[in-house]
Amino acid sequence: MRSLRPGGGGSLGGSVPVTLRAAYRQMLAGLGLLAGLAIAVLAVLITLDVVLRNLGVVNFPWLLEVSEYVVYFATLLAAPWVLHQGAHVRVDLLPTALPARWAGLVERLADGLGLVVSLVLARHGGRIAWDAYERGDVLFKELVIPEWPILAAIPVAGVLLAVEFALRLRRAGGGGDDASAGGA
Amino acid sequence: MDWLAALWLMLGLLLGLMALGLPVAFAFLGVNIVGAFVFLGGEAGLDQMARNTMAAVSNFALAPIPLFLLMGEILFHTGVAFQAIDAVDRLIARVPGRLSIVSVLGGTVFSSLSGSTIANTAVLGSALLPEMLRRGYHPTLAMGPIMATGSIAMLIPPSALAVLLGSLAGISISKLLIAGIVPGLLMSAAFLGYIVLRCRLDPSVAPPYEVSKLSAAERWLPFLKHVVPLFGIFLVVVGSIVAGWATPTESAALGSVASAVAAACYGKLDRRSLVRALRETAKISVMILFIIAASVTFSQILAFSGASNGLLAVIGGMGLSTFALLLAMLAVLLFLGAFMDQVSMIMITLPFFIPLATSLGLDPLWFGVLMLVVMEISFTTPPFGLLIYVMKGVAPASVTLRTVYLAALPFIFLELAVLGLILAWPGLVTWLPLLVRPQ
Repeated sequence: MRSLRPGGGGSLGGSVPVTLRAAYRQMLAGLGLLAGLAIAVLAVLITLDVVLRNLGVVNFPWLLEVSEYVVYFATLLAAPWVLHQGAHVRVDLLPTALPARWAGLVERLADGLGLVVSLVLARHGGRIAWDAYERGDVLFKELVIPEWPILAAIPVAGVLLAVEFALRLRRAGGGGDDASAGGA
Repeated sequence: MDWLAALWLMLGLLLGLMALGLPVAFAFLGVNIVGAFVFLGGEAGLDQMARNTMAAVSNFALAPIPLFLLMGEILFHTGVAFQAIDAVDRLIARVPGRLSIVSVLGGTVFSSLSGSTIANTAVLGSALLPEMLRRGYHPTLAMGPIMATGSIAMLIPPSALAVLLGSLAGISISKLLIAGIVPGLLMSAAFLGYIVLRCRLDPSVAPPYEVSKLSAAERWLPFLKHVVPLFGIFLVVVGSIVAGWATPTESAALGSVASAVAAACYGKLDRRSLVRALRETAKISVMILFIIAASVTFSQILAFSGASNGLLAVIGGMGLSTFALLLAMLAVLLFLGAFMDQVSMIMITLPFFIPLATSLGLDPLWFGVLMLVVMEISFTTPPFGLLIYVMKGVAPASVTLRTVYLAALPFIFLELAVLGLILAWPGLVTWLPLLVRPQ
């Protein structure tokens, strides 16, 4: 249960050019590493802020807001990499209790539902980002920034998640496999 | 649609999607799509659901989660945690169940440095389990203490789950973090007592062996060198919160940087281990936070459809005592914990539990700690406690899942006993947070 679907780190199907497969995997791995790096940079910046503020030198009032955006972007943009790694927690009660053939069908059903859910998220994330762009919505906090680039992370994540679920479905349907996958 | 139908629709669909094996974040998204369309106004409701994903995680209160995880991952992947456990190992003389005692003491030390139960269990399992099994330790005394102590990481600060619970339930995160210390230490003490007693009654469960003779310097110097400085990290994290110098996010950042500095001072911070630590931090953080992003609309739909209030009214009309209702809530958590992860447990139960606890006049801090303790127990409850599977992953292939279940059982009873103590004497958890100064 709750785990971490082994070998979830998958591959693109056999008919997809090798360079495209490699680029896709590298992009996901890059997003994962970027999320980790962003968290580390956040740790350093917040530490600097605490030290410098207590020394009375300077403080970074924008840091609180930047922290919020870092956590948000890291979560959404690295979610497809986590899915690729098979690391999104899940309760696999039914698939593990069923005979292999039925388990395979249930896995495909779950991947199909995941695909639909991701596409709905992408569609409505895209709608609200586009609306924000058209209206020229602006976020007024410590920083004043347009809202649409923030919201645009939702459709981007939704599309990448949908691609990953589609690739899982393709693999389950015998669309090829790649033993080197998942090394992100 | 009346509230009961709404409740069945939301909970039934959620559990159904989870049972299919859809990752829980996507199960929440799926049920929210249906719920938002039905109860929040069709397309507009779906737009609102998408917008909520941003609002849910662009929240400063959640920032300590990745930072606390980063602390533990740095100490784990650089090997600093292993050398600390080795130093504790040298310190313990020839006592019954020696290696089990090392695992409890070493795990408690690492719990004060790591916000991740998985990292804690993996460190202890890979450092101590092979030696325990080689020396003929009974599985209960080999794997039980590792899993039980591994889960203490979510009680003793830094604790990522305490941050999550505090931010979502509106409980002071600083106080909740500090309140976890006493239950965590009580559990360690109970585990130690059980190990010693069990080994005295039946020495064959942990065959005694000759410990190589070490001079006092050989025993104490590694401890002074590899463990004592690490308490500095704990002091930075907890001290800065208690003194009111730093918010939980700031203390978590200080702790992460202090962990990296400690690893660098030991000459163990290389690029490879740092990259691994960053990747693992990102993986676990995103796994937790994406569930939050996906599930926040769930409680809104339950409230908007009338399901939350409807259920609470029914419960209120039962005429049960406050204590009975409290026990019922904890029993529900224990039941859910046998089948699902802690974040899902929080997201499913909070919409009901927090209003109920408030209406009953329960101390939110006490209630929060009780929830944390139950979630800690559920890390090892069969059939699907997460740490059971982490343990199975690091154990030799010959160890069956049933053996791991049985190893966890005595420690689950000990944890339930500690839960009983906290229920009987709330002061056990509420006195220490009184020392926290407001920021």
